[in-house]
Amino acid sequence: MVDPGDIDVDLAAGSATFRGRNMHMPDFHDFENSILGNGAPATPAVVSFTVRWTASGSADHFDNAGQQYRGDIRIANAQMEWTARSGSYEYTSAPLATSTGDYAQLGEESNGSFF
Amino acid sequence: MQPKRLSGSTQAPTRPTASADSSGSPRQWSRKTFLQASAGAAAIGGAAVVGLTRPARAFAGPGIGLVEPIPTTVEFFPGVQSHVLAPPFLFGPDSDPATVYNFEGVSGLAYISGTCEQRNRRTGETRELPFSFNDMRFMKGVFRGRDGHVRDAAFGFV
Repeated sequence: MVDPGDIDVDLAAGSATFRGRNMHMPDFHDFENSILGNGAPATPAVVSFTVRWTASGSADHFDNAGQQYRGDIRIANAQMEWTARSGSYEYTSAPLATSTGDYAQLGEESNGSFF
Repeated sequence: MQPKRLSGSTQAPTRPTASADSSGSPRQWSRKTFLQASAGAAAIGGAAVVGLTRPARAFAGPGIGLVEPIPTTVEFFPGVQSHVLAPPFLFGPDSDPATVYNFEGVSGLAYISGTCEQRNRRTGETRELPFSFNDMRFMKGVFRGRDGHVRDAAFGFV
């Protein structure tokens, strides 16, 4: 869970921001190790980030009974800037505006018992 | 890779789907392309946010305290079921972006690429590295916990 105040959403405007500040989490070095734990031991790390969504166009309605999922979802653009510290290394991303959203979406949904 | 429900019934894989790049223009992605990009991100390791997080924790079956994970799973590695989907690339745009089950609210999902600077704090040496397809998500709303109670909550997936 995160502090609800770290997430600002304005669906009418089609915008959202998710901020993380000094989040402590293990650095598992690569995806496989994060799932299987079959590599080098994790390194304690601290991460901060800001992700910004800007939705465009109308919402698509999805109704997936197999997954017990229903959503009204808009395609969005998203960008991010972040910093991290892990072991001897510090990482600082280029400014948010230089990042590229490969795909993003924003919307309302319900699943499981709310489906 | 087989998407499965906990009931054991197998969900039919869906088609590769169209997405949009940062300019909003449609771009075709296949499941293979997505996985290749994800693997590339993972190979960067500690340079990328992907390498600094443990998706397995969010994917894990037991959930977080009272929180139930979504029952639909993906097998990224044989024998290990991960409770996360990756719309629109894995199983289509109608797949649930949330990792929390019995949830109602707002969700945001993004795959983001860019560059970062790595700095060795001991030597001061720096170098520029890419980060690719960082999977960033949030869920903000209410969830029904294992105890049956409905609570306000916000969740992140990084």
